[in-house]
Amino acid sequence: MKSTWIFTAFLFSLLISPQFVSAQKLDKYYIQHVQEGGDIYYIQPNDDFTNSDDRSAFVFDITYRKGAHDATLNFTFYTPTPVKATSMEISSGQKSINTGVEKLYVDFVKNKWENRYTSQFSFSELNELFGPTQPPVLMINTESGQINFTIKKSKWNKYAEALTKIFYIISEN
Amino acid sequence: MRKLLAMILLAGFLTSCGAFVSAPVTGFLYTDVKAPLAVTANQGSTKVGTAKLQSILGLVATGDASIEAAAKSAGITKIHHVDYEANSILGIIASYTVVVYGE
Repeated sequence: MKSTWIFTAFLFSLLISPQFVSAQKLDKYYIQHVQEGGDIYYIQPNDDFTNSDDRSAFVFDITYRKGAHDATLNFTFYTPTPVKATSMEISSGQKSINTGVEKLYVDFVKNKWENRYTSQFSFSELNELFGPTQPPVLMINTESGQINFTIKKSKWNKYAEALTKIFYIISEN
Repeated sequence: MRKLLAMILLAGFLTSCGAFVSAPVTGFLYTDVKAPLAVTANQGSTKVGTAKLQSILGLVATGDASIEAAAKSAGITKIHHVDYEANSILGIIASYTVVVYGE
């Protein structure tokens, strides 16, 4: 009986230990690609933001080439009817930044319009807005109005902690 | 002894029926690997795109992890190279992500 418990405890420790290791790993949040002319940092897609009206998903990723002024923020959002986005705004506290967007593609998936766009933001401003513990609000301006995307504070705190470390790694390398 | 037998049977079930993902090396309990998939003669890259598929318990698998989908997600028209990431936890959840670099 005792040996069974020891075996069970050993097996359980094996089962849970990789997950603890994985929770502390930063590399699930970003990829660094070393290349001539400036390393590329790719911050993996985040789907924690949702439409504040219909709770539909908002997915974004960030690509930054070391030495460049701007970072590329690609994003996807879903709408019941076709929309044309004109600009994107990120607001956190008193500060906000606004930039034009360019369509990558539009598709119709699971009864919703999938809108994929790309935008350019100043890397330093992005760092400033995504660093604070106060969750930012992402706003997409379309020809038919504004769509707001928000994130739960608990989710933002976890993500912002990783982002702060990634931005520090980028600035120091 | 019965519990031990039950655990061995469960392990056997997970081995044969669980959600696992193909990779150069795989871990029964946990897999988290990155590896190369393809490379071209194109020079340099400024864009990165990803595409992902997932499996749950080896019973349901959904997604589009094609190079085409990954390139499309970032507006890449000239591919430099392609990597992939494979993840699996206890055969319960597995995911496969294609990462395309290009411009």
